[in-house]
Amino acid sequence: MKKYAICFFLTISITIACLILVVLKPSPTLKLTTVKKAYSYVSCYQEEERIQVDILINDLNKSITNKEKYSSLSISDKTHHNELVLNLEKVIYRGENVTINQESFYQYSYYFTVLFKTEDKFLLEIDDAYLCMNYRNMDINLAIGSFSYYKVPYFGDDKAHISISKLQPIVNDLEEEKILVGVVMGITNQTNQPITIEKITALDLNLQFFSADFMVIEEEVFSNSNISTLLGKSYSLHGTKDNNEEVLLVIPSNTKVDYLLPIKYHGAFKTNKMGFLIEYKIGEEQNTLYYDEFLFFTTKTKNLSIGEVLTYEK
Amino acid sequence: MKKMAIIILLFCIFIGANVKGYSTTGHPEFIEIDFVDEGKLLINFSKEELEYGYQKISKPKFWGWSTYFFNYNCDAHYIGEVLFSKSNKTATPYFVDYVLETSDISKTSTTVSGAISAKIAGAIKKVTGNISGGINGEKEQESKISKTETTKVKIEIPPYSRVALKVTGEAKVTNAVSKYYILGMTFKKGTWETIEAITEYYELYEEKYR
Repeated sequence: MKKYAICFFLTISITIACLILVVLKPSPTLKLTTVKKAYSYVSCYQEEERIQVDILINDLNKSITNKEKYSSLSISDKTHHNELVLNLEKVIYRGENVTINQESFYQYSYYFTVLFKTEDKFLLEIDDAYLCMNYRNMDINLAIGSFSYYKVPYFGDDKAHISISKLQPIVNDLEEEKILVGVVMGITNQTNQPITIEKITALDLNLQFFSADFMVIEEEVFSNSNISTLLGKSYSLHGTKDNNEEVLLVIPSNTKVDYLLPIKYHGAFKTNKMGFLIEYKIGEEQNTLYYDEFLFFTTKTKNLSIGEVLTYEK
Repeated sequence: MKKMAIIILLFCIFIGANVKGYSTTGHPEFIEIDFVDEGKLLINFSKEELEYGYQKISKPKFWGWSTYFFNYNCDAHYIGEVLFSKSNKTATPYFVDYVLETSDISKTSTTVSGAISAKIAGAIKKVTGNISGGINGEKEQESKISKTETTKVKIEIPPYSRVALKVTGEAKVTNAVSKYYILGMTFKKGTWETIEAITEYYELYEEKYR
């Protein structure tokens, strides 16, 4: 009787152990994806830039947060003709999970440094950018969205002729999401001569300030004001890229003027953050003001477009 | 003398712990709240108006919470805190590195009074039933991706100027009175209010000293 009891107990124990092993057995494949978005960065020639990419991975293995397990890190286009080498600073597990195709994915934030320094102007614009890395001998090429990277000689106006006295987003509900449709930009002429603004360029490959509709704003406006109402005409979100778009805005001496700069998107991604440059003329002298990437707004996102799920055999 | 000093110190600590900064909205994070349609913050309610709410839930319940909502998820605009402010009283411009950490997890401010705790108020708000009737205090389980982002920006402070960064946005306001009944008797009661920031707009502005 005792023998039967021992056999029964052993059978039950082994069955339970097997079940636990089956349930807890790590997935044989590593799956990862991300929410594609517009990445845009501006930094001075000799400054490092920090980049954060959030990745969803179907694994809680501790080696994911071990930066020693990674090598060959870069941001690249599909053909690897344009590539920016990255240095991995840290990987942080965000403690949150999301279900994709009935499978749990865990959120990790990757923090990189771009060590690239230059002595001259440099830009890298990739419509369809990939985060490339080698993780435990797996070559991962993850599509992350668009990537705009600019190196500028200085920030602000090195001659101190003009300064930015106001930055305010105009955000409207369009295409079922909140979209940056314009910027209210205050420019102060700090000199005793009139200054002519010749060009204002957004430093993100997806969009452009639409100079034909620039207008002076004389009263305070709300950030959620309807752009069509402000412009006094129908606004269209999309437009084609115009590389020769110039403006001629004259700011009298020692005066501050607030302009509404409507935005047109020609790229695939909308943005909430970007730098810009202003080219202006004072007398016969030409100069440029460079502005670092500025975060205009954040919101609770309704529609997140999760990219393709990449699968690798472990 | 030593005893006296200790008593004064303890008194100061005790008083200090209970001092709250004055806020026109009752929520220090929000300087101003404007409802899109009709709505009112708890701070502006009269005693009679609150009493009206309590009367609406005076019918005893065998067990659990009974709540009367004055406003439920009402749309509002807000002016929030000044996140950054720097002055330059010299003739030379300078730059500061400002680091802004943001998250798309909405910021919620809850105020409570009476015997209700902020935790309970949060649970009551996430109702899954009809609002004025039976309330099920189960917390919603959400599976969502949060976006936490750090942005470093160089901000120029021109000569004789002050540059500030403020946040404004859109919010949802809910306020109510609640009673907790045990065996038909009121066990706890109080008022509570939550303001949930949905959108944050960052506005940079400069003021000249001369």
